[in-house]
Amino acid sequence: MSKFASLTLKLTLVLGCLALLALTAYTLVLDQQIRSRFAGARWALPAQIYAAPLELYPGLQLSKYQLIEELERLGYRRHPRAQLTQGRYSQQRDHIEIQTRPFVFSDGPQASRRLVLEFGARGLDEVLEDDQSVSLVRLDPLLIGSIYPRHGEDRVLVNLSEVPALLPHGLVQTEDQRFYSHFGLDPRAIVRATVVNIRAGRVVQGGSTLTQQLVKNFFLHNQRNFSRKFSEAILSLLLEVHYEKNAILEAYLNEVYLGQDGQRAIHGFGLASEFYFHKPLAELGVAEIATLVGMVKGPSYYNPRRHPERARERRNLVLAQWRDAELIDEQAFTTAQASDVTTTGQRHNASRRYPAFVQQVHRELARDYPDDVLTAEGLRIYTSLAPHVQAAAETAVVEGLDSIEASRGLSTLQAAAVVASVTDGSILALVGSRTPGDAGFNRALDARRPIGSTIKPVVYLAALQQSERYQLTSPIADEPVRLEMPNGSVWEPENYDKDAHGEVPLFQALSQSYNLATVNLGLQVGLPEVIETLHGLGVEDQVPELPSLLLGAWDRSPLQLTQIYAALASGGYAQKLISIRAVQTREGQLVKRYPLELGDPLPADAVALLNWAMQQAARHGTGRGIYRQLDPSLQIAGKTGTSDDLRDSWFAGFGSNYLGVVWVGHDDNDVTQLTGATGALPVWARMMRMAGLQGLSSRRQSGLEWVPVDTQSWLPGDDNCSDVLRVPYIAGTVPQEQAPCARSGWNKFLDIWR
Amino acid sequence: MALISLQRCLIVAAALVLSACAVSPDGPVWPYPQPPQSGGDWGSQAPPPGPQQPPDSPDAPAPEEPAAESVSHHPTVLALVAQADEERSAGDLDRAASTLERAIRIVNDDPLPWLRLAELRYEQSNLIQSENLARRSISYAQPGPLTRQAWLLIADIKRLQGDEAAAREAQDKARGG
Repeated sequence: MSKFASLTLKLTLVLGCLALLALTAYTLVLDQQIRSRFAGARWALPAQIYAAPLELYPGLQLSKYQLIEELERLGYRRHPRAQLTQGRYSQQRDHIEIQTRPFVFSDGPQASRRLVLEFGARGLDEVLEDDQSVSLVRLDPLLIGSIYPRHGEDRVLVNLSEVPALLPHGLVQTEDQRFYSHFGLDPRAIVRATVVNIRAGRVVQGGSTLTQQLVKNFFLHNQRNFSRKFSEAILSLLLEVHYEKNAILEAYLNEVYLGQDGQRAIHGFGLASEFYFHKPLAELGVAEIATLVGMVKGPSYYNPRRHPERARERRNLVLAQWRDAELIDEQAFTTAQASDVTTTGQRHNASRRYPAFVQQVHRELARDYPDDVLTAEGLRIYTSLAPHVQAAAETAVVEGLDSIEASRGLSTLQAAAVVASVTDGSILALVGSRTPGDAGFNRALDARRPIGSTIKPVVYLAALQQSERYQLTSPIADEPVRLEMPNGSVWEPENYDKDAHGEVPLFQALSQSYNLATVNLGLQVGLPEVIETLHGLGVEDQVPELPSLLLGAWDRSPLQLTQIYAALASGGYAQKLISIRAVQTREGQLVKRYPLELGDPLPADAVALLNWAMQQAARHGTGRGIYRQLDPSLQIAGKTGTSDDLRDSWFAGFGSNYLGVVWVGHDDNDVTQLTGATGALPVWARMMRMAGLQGLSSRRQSGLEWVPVDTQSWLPGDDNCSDVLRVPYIAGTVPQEQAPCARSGWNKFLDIWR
Repeated sequence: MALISLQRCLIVAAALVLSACAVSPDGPVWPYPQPPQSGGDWGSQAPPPGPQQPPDSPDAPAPEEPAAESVSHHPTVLALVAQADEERSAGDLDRAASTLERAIRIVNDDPLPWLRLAELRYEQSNLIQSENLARRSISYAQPGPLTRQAWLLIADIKRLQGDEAAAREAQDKARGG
C-alpha cells in the first residue's frame, strides 16, 4: 500500500517535472516568437508613395478654385480665419490663408507655415508669410499609395509622442483601464467578464487587456479556443516582461486592425485616420478619435461608413465614458456628441485612387529594390504625379467616352491616357481604364495596339534630317503603291478617302495624313533610316523592318508611344519616361535621386521643322478638331492615328508644358468605327484644356529661315503672290527656284523680256 | 553572460508559473524590467526633428542677376539658381542639381538653370549630360551671354573628349559665328 503510494508519488513527480519541462520549452519558443515579432513590427512598413508637391510662387498660373481643389484633395478643411490651425485654410474672395502641414521633402524638411495667397486675374499674384513676400513654398504632397505585402497589411506609422493625447488616454479608458498597472493580464476584468458571460449565457464581454489584444493582432487573428487563450496569456506576460508600457501602447496604436479596404487590411490608427477621415491623425477632433476608439471593439460591426448609426451610438458611449473619467469637459462632450459621424467617401481615398500610376511606380521600383524591401522598410517614394493633371485626365476619359458613345450609339469603349512633362519626361498622369480607380487591366502600360498614323512624324523626321534632299515644301508623290512582300503576298495600302492626291508638299502629306505619300517617302528615305530615327527617339526594342511599319502596323502601349513623342516635344532629346524622382528612408535619409537625364539629341533644326508640320496638322489637318475645345490662340503640335478597320483610335500631341497620348478602342479589339479624330482627339483636347496646356513658344529658333511660300506652286514667293504661307527652312536649304507669282529676283529679270 | 541568461530563465520561469496559475493577487505586483537597450524599441526612439527653420526654403528676396542679361528671368527661378549656387559652393552638388531641376520644372524654357545644371554635370565629370544640357539651354536662348557661356562649355567638353574640330566649331559659335 505504502509502496504503491510512494510509486504513485514518484510517478506524479516525474510526470509533473516532464510537464514543467515541456511548458518551459514551449514558453521559450513563444518568447523567441514574441520578441522577433515585436522587433519586426517596427520594420514591417509598406513603402509610401507621394505625388509631386504643389509649388506655390508668385506668377503661378493657378486659379483660386484650382488651389482650393488641391487643398481639398490633401484633406485641408475650410474654417474661419480665427480658427486656422495646421491642415486648415480660410478664404475671403481672392485671398486664401493656409496653415500648411510640416513635411520632410526629399531635399529637406519644411515646417508648418502660415501663408497668405493673393489671387489676381492671371493666377497667383503674391505669396506672403508674416507680411513678407515668399518666392517659393511647397504644399505637403498627396499620399497616393503604399506598397504593402501580399497578405495585404497596410499602415501609416505613428509615434506615441505625436498622436493627440486624447487617443492613448481615451483608448486606455475605454479598452483597458488598468493598463498601466496590470502585468499583461487583468484578473479582475477576467472575473468580471466571466460573471457577465455566465449570466448572459453567451460571450458578451471580453476581459482582454490591450496587451492581450496586441498579441492577438500579432499572431492569432480571431481564433478562439482554449489553447489559443493559453498561449495568448503567456505571450502577453512575456511581452510585458520585455517591453515598457508605452512601447506596447505604441505598438498597439500601429497594429490594431481597424477595417478592410478590399484586399487591403487597415492596421493602426494612422492609416485608419487617413482611410476614414482623409486627414492625418494629428488633425482629428474629439468625435473622430472617439469613433475610431469605438471601432476597436468590432471594426466591421461599427464601421462608420457602412453602419453610421451603430458607429454613432458606440462613439457616444465612448464619449460618455471619457466625460465621466474627466478626459474631456462637458462642452467638448456636448459638441462631439452632437456632431455627425462623417467619413469621407471611398472616392477621397487617394491611396486607392491612382492604381494605374502606382503600378508604374511599382514596376520602376522593382528594377532597383527587391519586394521585401518595398513592403517592409517604410521607404518614402517621391513621384511626379500631378494630381490636378491626373484629375483632368480621368474626367476627360469618363466624359469623353460617355459623349462619344451617346452620339454614336456605341458602348463598352475603353480608353487609356498618359500625360508627361515636356521638360523632363516625367509622368504626370496615367489613366489605365475608363473607370477611375480601377485596379484591373492597365491599358496605359499593357494594352499594345497598332499605333497607326501616329508613327508618321517619325517617317517625316527621318526625311527632314536629310536636309539637302527634303524640305517641308518638297513635292511628295501621293500615288498608289504596290509592294510584293518576301512571302509572296502583295501590300497595297490606300488613303483613308481612297483617293490619290498626286504631288503634295511634304508637310501637307503629314498634316493631311496621306498614307500613299508617306509610304512613298518612307521607302525613298529607307526603312533602316526610319528605324534608326525611332531608336534616336528612345525606342530600345527591336523594330520590325517591314514597309507596313510606315503606316504604324506596329504594336505599342500608350506609354511607349508617349516615349517617342516626349523626344519630339523636347526638341529632339530622348527622355526616359519616369515616375519617380527620389527615394528616402523612413527617417528621411536620401536613398536615391532619379536625376533629369537627356539622351543624345537628334538635329534640333530638323525636329523644329517637324514640329511646325505637326502644328499644321493640329491647326489645319486631321487634328484641327482640338480647337473646338482649346483656345485657338494656342500653338499645339499633334497627330491622329487610326489602325486598320477603325479598331484603335489614337491622338498624340504637345504644347510647351505637357505632352499627352490618348487611346480609345475595345478590349476585344473589335471595330469601333472611330478614327483618331473622332475618338481619341476629343478626349485629348478635353483633357488638355482641363489640365492647362500651354501653347508652344513662338520664339524663332536660330538656324532657321522663314520664307513666304506660294501656296499654288509651293515655291518661295513674295508680296506679289496672292496667297503665301510662311514656312521655315534650315538655313541654306531654301529652294533656288521661285514661284511663278514672285516678282523679285529671276522672275523680275524675265518680266523685262516678256 | 551566464548571469544574464540565468536572469532571463528566472523571468521566463516566473512568467510560466504566473501563467499556469489561474488566480493571481490583485494590484501591480509585477516588476517591469528595463526594455532591451540594444536593438532599441519604439519607446526609446528619438523624437522626429521639430519645426526648425527649413534649410531649403528659398525665402530670401531674389538676388540681382550678376551679369546684365537681355532676357528677364522669373524671380523664383533666380532664387533657386542662387540657392543652387550656395549648395554648390558648400560642396553639395547633388542637392544643387535637384534645386536646379526644381527651377527647370517651374519655368521650363528659361535657359539659365539648364546652363547651370550643365556646368554642374561638367564639374561632376558627366560630360555627356553636360553637353546635352548645354545644348538644350541654347535651344531656349536668344544669342547672347548665356549662349556664349554654353558654347564655351561645349568647347571645353569637346576638347576633353579629344575632338579638336568640334571644340573649334563650338568656340566659333561662342564668338557669334
